[in-house]
Amino acid sequence: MEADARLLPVAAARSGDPAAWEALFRRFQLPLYAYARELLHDDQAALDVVQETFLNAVRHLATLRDEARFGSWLFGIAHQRCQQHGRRRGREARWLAAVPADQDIEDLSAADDGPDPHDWLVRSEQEAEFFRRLGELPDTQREVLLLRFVDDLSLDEIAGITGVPLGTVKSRLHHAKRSFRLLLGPASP
Amino acid sequence: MKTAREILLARHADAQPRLDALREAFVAGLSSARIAVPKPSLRTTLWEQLVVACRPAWIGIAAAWAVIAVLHATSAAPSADRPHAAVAKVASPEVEALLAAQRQLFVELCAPVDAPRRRTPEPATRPSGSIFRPNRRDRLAAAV
Repeated sequence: MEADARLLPVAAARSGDPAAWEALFRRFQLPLYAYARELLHDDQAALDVVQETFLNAVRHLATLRDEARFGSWLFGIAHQRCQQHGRRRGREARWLAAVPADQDIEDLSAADDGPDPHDWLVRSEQEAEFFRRLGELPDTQREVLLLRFVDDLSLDEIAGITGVPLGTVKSRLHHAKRSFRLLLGPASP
Repeated sequence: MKTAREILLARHADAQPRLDALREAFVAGLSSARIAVPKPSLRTTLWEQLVVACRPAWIGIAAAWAVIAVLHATSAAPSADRPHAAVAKVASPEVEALLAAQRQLFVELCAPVDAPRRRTPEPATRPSGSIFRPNRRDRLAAAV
Protein backbone atom coordinates (compact mmCIF):
# COMPACT_ATOMS: atom_id res chain seq x y z
CA MET A 1 0.00 0.00 0.00
CA GLU A 2 2.80 2.42 0.90
CA ALA A 3 4.77 1.57 -2.26
CA ASP A 4 1.60 1.94 -4.34
CA ALA A 5 0.84 5.25 -2.64
CA ARG A 6 4.22 6.69 -3.59
CA LEU A 7 3.27 6.31 -7.25
CA LEU A 8 0.09 8.33 -6.83
CA PRO A 9 0.26 11.92 -8.13
CA VAL A 10 -0.84 13.45 -4.86
CA ALA A 11 1.67 16.30 -5.00
CA ALA A 12 0.44 17.30 -8.46
CA ALA A 13 -3.15 17.04 -7.23
CA ARG A 14 -2.30 19.49 -4.46
CA SER A 15 -1.49 22.07 -7.08
CA GLY A 16 -4.86 21.46 -8.72
CA ASP A 17 -3.64 19.50 -11.75
CA PRO A 18 -6.78 17.97 -13.35
CA ALA A 19 -4.78 15.10 -14.88
CA ALA A 20 -3.53 14.12 -11.43
CA TRP A 21 -7.05 14.20 -10.06
CA GLU A 22 -8.27 12.09 -12.94
CA ALA A 23 -5.58 9.48 -12.20
CA LEU A 24 -6.52 9.44 -8.53
CA PHE A 25 -10.22 9.19 -9.32
CA ARG A 26 -9.61 6.36 -11.76
CA ARG A 27 -7.49 4.48 -9.22
CA PHE A 28 -9.99 4.70 -6.38
CA GLN A 29 -13.41 4.95 -8.03
CA LEU A 30 -14.26 1.24 -8.07
CA PRO A 31 -12.86 0.33 -4.60
CA LEU A 32 -14.71 3.30 -3.11
CA TYR A 33 -17.90 2.37 -4.92
CA ALA A 34 -17.67 -1.31 -3.86
CA TYR A 35 -17.05 -0.27 -0.26
CA ALA A 36 -19.99 2.14 -0.18
CA ARG A 37 -22.31 -0.16 -2.15
CA GLU A 38 -21.71 -3.13 0.15
CA LEU A 39 -22.32 -0.97 3.20
CA LEU A 40 -25.34 0.97 1.99
CA HIS A 41 -26.94 -1.58 -0.41
CA ASP A 42 -27.91 1.31 -2.66
CA ASP A 43 -26.41 2.04 -6.10
CA GLN A 44 -27.26 5.73 -6.20
CA ALA A 45 -26.12 6.34 -2.63
CA ALA A 46 -22.82 4.62 -3.41
CA LEU A 47 -22.31 6.83 -6.47
CA ASP A 48 -23.11 9.88 -4.35
CA VAL A 49 -20.55 8.76 -1.79
CA VAL A 50 -17.84 8.45 -4.47
CA GLN A 51 -18.62 11.90 -5.82
CA GLU A 52 -18.84 13.56 -2.41
CA THR A 53 -15.65 11.85 -1.30
CA PHE A 54 -13.69 13.37 -4.16
CA LEU A 55 -15.28 16.79 -3.78
CA ASN A 56 -14.28 16.76 -0.12
CA ALA A 57 -10.82 15.50 -1.03
CA VAL A 58 -10.31 18.47 -3.38
CA ARG A 59 -11.37 20.91 -0.70
CA HIS A 60 -9.31 19.40 2.10
CA LEU A 61 -6.25 17.94 0.40
CA ALA A 62 -4.13 20.77 1.86
CA THR A 63 -4.73 19.27 5.32
CA LEU A 64 -3.29 15.88 4.35
CA ARG A 65 0.11 15.65 6.03
CA ASP A 66 1.43 12.35 4.70
CA GLU A 67 0.90 11.87 0.99
CA ALA A 68 1.65 8.15 1.34
CA ARG A 69 -1.55 7.84 3.33
CA PHE A 70 -3.77 9.34 0.65
CA GLY A 71 -5.69 6.08 0.20
CA SER A 72 -6.63 5.63 3.83
CA TRP A 73 -7.39 9.35 4.09
CA LEU A 74 -9.77 9.04 1.13
CA PHE A 75 -11.48 6.01 2.66
CA GLY A 76 -11.80 7.98 5.88
CA ILE A 77 -13.81 10.61 4.01
CA ALA A 78 -15.89 7.86 2.37
CA HIS A 79 -16.53 6.33 5.79
CA GLN A 80 -17.95 9.63 7.03
CA ARG A 81 -20.10 10.04 3.94
CA CYS A 82 -21.44 6.50 4.34
CA GLN A 83 -22.31 7.22 7.96
CA GLN A 84 -24.22 10.32 6.90
CA HIS A 85 -26.13 8.39 4.25
CA GLY A 86 -26.82 5.64 6.79
CA ARG A 87 -28.18 8.16 9.27
CA ARG A 88 -30.38 9.71 6.63
CA ARG A 89 -31.98 6.36 6.08
CA GLY A 90 -32.64 5.86 9.76
CA ARG A 91 -30.05 3.15 10.18
CA GLU A 92 -27.99 5.06 12.70
CA ALA A 93 -28.77 2.76 15.59
CA ARG A 94 -27.76 -0.31 13.63
CA TRP A 95 -24.69 1.35 12.15
CA LEU A 96 -23.37 2.53 15.45
CA ALA A 97 -24.40 -0.53 17.44
CA ALA A 98 -21.44 -1.97 19.28
CA VAL A 99 -20.67 -5.61 18.68
CA PRO A 100 -20.75 -7.48 22.03
CA ALA A 101 -17.68 -9.49 21.11
CA ASP A 102 -15.64 -6.25 20.79
CA GLN A 103 -14.55 -6.69 24.39
CA ASP A 104 -12.33 -9.77 23.90
CA ILE A 105 -9.40 -7.82 22.57
CA GLU A 106 -6.45 -9.37 24.34
CA ASP A 107 -7.44 -12.96 23.63
CA LEU A 108 -8.09 -12.26 19.99
CA SER A 109 -4.85 -10.50 19.24
CA ALA A 110 -2.95 -13.64 20.17
CA ALA A 111 -5.35 -16.07 18.56
CA ASP A 112 -4.58 -17.74 15.26
CA ASP A 113 -7.35 -16.66 12.92
CA GLY A 114 -6.08 -18.38 9.82
CA PRO A 115 -5.25 -16.56 6.58
CA ASP A 116 -5.68 -12.84 6.19
CA PRO A 117 -8.87 -11.80 4.34
CA HIS A 118 -6.74 -10.26 1.63
CA ASP A 119 -5.39 -13.74 0.84
CA TRP A 120 -8.72 -15.49 0.82
CA LEU A 121 -9.42 -17.48 -2.31
CA VAL A 122 -13.01 -18.09 -3.33
CA ARG A 123 -14.19 -20.70 -5.82
CA SER A 124 -16.60 -19.47 -8.45
CA GLU A 125 -19.35 -21.77 -7.12
CA GLN A 126 -18.86 -20.26 -3.64
CA GLU A 127 -19.25 -16.64 -4.68
CA ALA A 128 -22.99 -16.44 -4.03
CA GLU A 129 -22.53 -17.90 -0.56
CA PHE A 130 -19.59 -15.55 0.04
CA PHE A 131 -21.71 -12.49 -0.67
CA ARG A 132 -24.65 -13.87 1.31
CA ARG A 133 -22.44 -14.23 4.38
CA LEU A 134 -20.88 -10.83 3.80
CA GLY A 135 -24.36 -9.30 3.72
CA GLU A 136 -25.33 -11.03 6.95
CA LEU A 137 -22.40 -9.62 8.92
CA PRO A 138 -23.03 -6.71 11.30
CA ASP A 139 -22.15 -3.40 9.62
CA THR A 140 -19.15 -2.80 11.87
CA GLN A 141 -17.59 -6.18 11.02
CA ARG A 142 -18.46 -5.93 7.34
CA GLU A 143 -16.83 -2.52 7.12
CA VAL A 144 -13.53 -3.76 8.53
CA LEU A 145 -13.56 -6.73 6.19
CA LEU A 146 -14.35 -4.55 3.16
CA LEU A 147 -11.56 -2.13 3.92
CA ARG A 148 -9.20 -5.09 4.12
CA PHE A 149 -10.53 -6.51 0.82
CA VAL A 150 -10.87 -3.50 -1.40
CA ASP A 151 -7.64 -1.64 -0.72
CA ASP A 152 -5.52 -3.88 1.48
CA LEU A 153 -5.48 -1.29 4.23
CA SER A 154 -3.53 -2.09 7.38
CA LEU A 155 -5.30 -2.58 10.70
CA ASP A 156 -3.83 0.72 11.91
CA GLU A 157 -5.25 2.50 8.89
CA ILE A 158 -8.64 0.84 9.37
CA ALA A 159 -8.62 1.93 13.01
CA GLY A 160 -7.91 5.50 11.86
CA ILE A 161 -10.66 5.40 9.25
CA THR A 162 -13.35 3.96 11.48
CA GLY A 163 -12.27 5.92 14.56
CA VAL A 164 -12.09 2.89 16.86
CA PRO A 165 -9.13 1.45 18.80
CA LEU A 166 -6.85 -1.05 17.11
CA GLY A 167 -7.97 -3.82 19.46
CA THR A 168 -11.58 -3.29 18.43
CA VAL A 169 -10.60 -3.57 14.76
CA LYS A 170 -8.81 -6.85 15.51
CA SER A 171 -11.83 -8.10 17.37
CA ARG A 172 -14.21 -7.22 14.57
CA LEU A 173 -11.94 -8.77 11.97
CA HIS A 174 -11.63 -11.93 14.03
CA HIS A 175 -15.38 -12.38 14.30
CA ALA A 176 -15.91 -11.57 10.64
CA LYS A 177 -13.30 -14.17 9.66
CA ARG A 178 -14.94 -16.74 11.90
CA SER A 179 -18.16 -16.33 9.94
CA PHE A 180 -16.29 -17.28 6.79
CA ARG A 181 -14.15 -20.04 8.26
CA LEU A 182 -16.42 -22.91 7.31
CA LEU A 183 -16.93 -21.57 3.82
CA LEU A 184 -13.30 -20.86 3.06
CA GLY A 185 -11.56 -23.36 5.31
CA PRO A 186 -10.84 -26.20 2.87
CA ALA A 187 -10.02 -23.89 -0.03
CA SER A 188 -7.85 -21.33 1.74
CA PRO A 189 -4.08 -21.77 1.66
CA MET B 1 -10.34 -19.33 -7.83
CA LYS B 2 -10.21 -15.62 -7.24
CA THR B 3 -9.23 -13.46 -4.33
CA ALA B 4 -11.96 -11.79 -2.29
CA ARG B 5 -10.90 -8.42 -3.71
CA GLU B 6 -11.23 -9.66 -7.28
CA ILE B 7 -14.72 -11.07 -6.85
CA LEU B 8 -15.80 -7.98 -4.92
CA LEU B 9 -14.63 -5.60 -7.61
CA ALA B 10 -15.95 -7.87 -10.38
CA ARG B 11 -19.35 -7.83 -8.72
CA HIS B 12 -19.51 -4.07 -9.09
CA ALA B 13 -17.89 -3.82 -12.50
CA ASP B 14 -21.31 -2.95 -13.95
CA ALA B 15 -21.06 0.43 -12.26
CA GLN B 16 -17.87 1.25 -14.14
CA PRO B 17 -19.55 3.31 -16.95
CA ARG B 18 -21.40 5.44 -14.43
CA LEU B 19 -18.23 5.92 -12.42
CA ASP B 20 -16.39 6.93 -15.60
CA ALA B 21 -19.09 9.49 -16.33
CA LEU B 22 -18.81 10.77 -12.79
CA ARG B 23 -15.04 11.08 -13.15
CA GLU B 24 -15.29 12.96 -16.43
CA ALA B 25 -17.75 15.41 -14.93
CA PHE B 26 -15.51 15.85 -11.92
CA VAL B 27 -12.40 16.51 -14.01
CA ALA B 28 -14.34 18.85 -16.31
CA GLY B 29 -15.44 20.75 -13.23
CA LEU B 30 -11.85 21.00 -12.08
CA SER B 31 -10.65 22.17 -15.49
CA SER B 32 -13.27 24.88 -15.72
CA ALA B 33 -12.46 25.92 -12.15
CA ARG B 34 -15.99 25.23 -10.99
CA ILE B 35 -14.44 23.16 -8.25
CA ALA B 36 -11.93 25.41 -6.57
CA VAL B 37 -8.76 23.76 -5.35
CA PRO B 38 -7.82 25.79 -2.29
CA LYS B 39 -4.15 26.63 -1.87
CA PRO B 40 -2.76 26.21 1.59
CA SER B 41 -2.84 29.52 3.46
CA LEU B 42 0.30 31.26 4.71
CA ARG B 43 -0.66 30.38 8.28
CA THR B 44 -1.08 26.71 7.35
CA THR B 45 2.21 26.72 5.50
CA LEU B 46 4.06 28.32 8.40
CA TRP B 47 2.45 25.96 10.87
CA GLU B 48 3.38 22.96 8.75
CA GLN B 49 6.95 24.05 8.06
CA LEU B 50 7.91 25.59 11.39
CA VAL B 51 6.01 23.47 13.88
CA VAL B 52 4.82 20.20 12.39
CA ALA B 53 7.96 19.53 10.36
CA CYS B 54 10.22 20.24 13.35
CA ARG B 55 8.09 18.42 15.87
CA PRO B 56 10.99 16.32 17.26
CA ALA B 57 13.06 19.47 17.79
CA TRP B 58 10.21 21.20 19.65
CA ILE B 59 9.65 18.13 21.78
CA GLY B 60 13.37 18.07 22.59
CA ILE B 61 13.38 21.72 23.56
CA ALA B 62 10.31 21.23 25.72
CA ALA B 63 11.93 18.26 27.42
CA ALA B 64 15.11 20.26 28.06
CA TRP B 65 13.09 23.08 29.62
CA ALA B 66 11.21 20.59 31.74
CA VAL B 67 14.51 19.16 33.03
CA ILE B 68 15.79 22.68 33.75
CA ALA B 69 12.58 23.53 35.61
CA VAL B 70 12.79 20.37 37.69
CA LEU B 71 16.45 21.00 38.54
CA HIS B 72 15.66 24.59 39.46
CA ALA B 73 12.78 23.52 41.66
CA THR B 74 14.82 20.86 43.47
CA SER B 75 17.76 23.22 44.06
CA ALA B 76 15.55 26.11 45.20
CA ALA B 77 13.41 24.13 47.60
CA PRO B 78 16.06 23.49 50.31
CA SER B 79 17.18 27.14 50.24
CA ALA B 80 13.81 28.09 51.66
CA ASP B 81 14.79 26.25 54.83
CA ARG B 82 18.30 27.53 54.74
CA PRO B 83 17.80 30.89 56.64
CA HIS B 84 17.17 28.90 59.78
CA ALA B 85 20.27 26.86 59.14
CA ALA B 86 22.25 30.01 58.46
CA VAL B 87 21.04 31.64 61.68
CA ALA B 88 21.87 28.51 63.58
CA LYS B 89 25.30 28.47 62.03
CA VAL B 90 25.93 32.15 62.87
CA ALA B 91 24.64 31.63 66.36
CA SER B 92 27.22 28.98 67.16
CA PRO B 93 29.18 29.72 70.40
CA GLU B 94 32.53 30.40 68.70
CA VAL B 95 31.07 32.85 66.24
CA GLU B 96 28.96 34.42 68.98
CA ALA B 97 32.01 34.97 71.11
CA LEU B 98 33.98 36.36 68.21
CA LEU B 99 31.15 38.72 67.33
CA ALA B 100 30.85 39.88 70.92
CA ALA B 101 34.58 40.58 71.03
CA GLN B 102 34.41 42.50 67.77
CA ARG B 103 31.43 44.46 69.01
CA GLN B 104 33.19 45.33 72.23
CA LEU B 105 36.29 46.44 70.35
CA PHE B 106 34.20 48.58 68.05
CA VAL B 107 32.46 50.27 70.99
CA GLU B 108 35.77 50.98 72.65
CA LEU B 109 37.23 52.43 69.49
CA CYS B 110 34.24 54.59 68.80
CA ALA B 111 33.36 55.74 72.29
CA PRO B 112 35.63 58.86 72.45
CA VAL B 113 34.48 60.06 69.09
CA ASP B 114 30.81 59.51 69.80
CA ALA B 115 30.66 61.18 73.19
CA PRO B 116 31.02 64.84 72.09
CA ARG B 117 28.73 64.29 69.18
CA ARG B 118 25.94 63.34 71.53
CA ARG B 119 26.31 66.73 73.18
CA THR B 120 25.79 68.73 70.02
CA PRO B 121 22.74 70.95 70.35
CA GLU B 122 19.55 69.85 68.68
CA PRO B 123 17.62 72.60 66.96
CA ALA B 124 14.27 71.23 68.13
CA THR B 125 15.15 71.51 71.82
CA ARG B 126 16.78 74.92 71.52
CA PRO B 127 14.75 77.78 72.91
CA SER B 128 14.12 80.91 70.98
CA GLY B 129 17.11 83.04 70.21
CA SER B 130 20.08 83.01 67.91
CA ILE B 131 21.22 79.66 66.65
CA PHE B 132 24.83 80.77 67.23
CA ARG B 133 24.23 81.30 70.90
CA PRO B 134 24.99 78.18 73.00
CA ASN B 135 22.38 77.21 75.58
CA ARG B 136 23.01 76.66 79.24
CA ARG B 137 23.53 72.91 79.02
CA ASP B 138 26.17 73.33 76.33
CA ARG B 139 27.96 75.96 78.36
CA LEU B 140 27.86 73.67 81.40
CA ALA B 141 29.21 70.78 79.41
CA ALA B 142 32.00 72.93 78.01
CA ALA B 143 32.92 74.04 81.53
CA VAL B 144 33.10 70.42 82.73
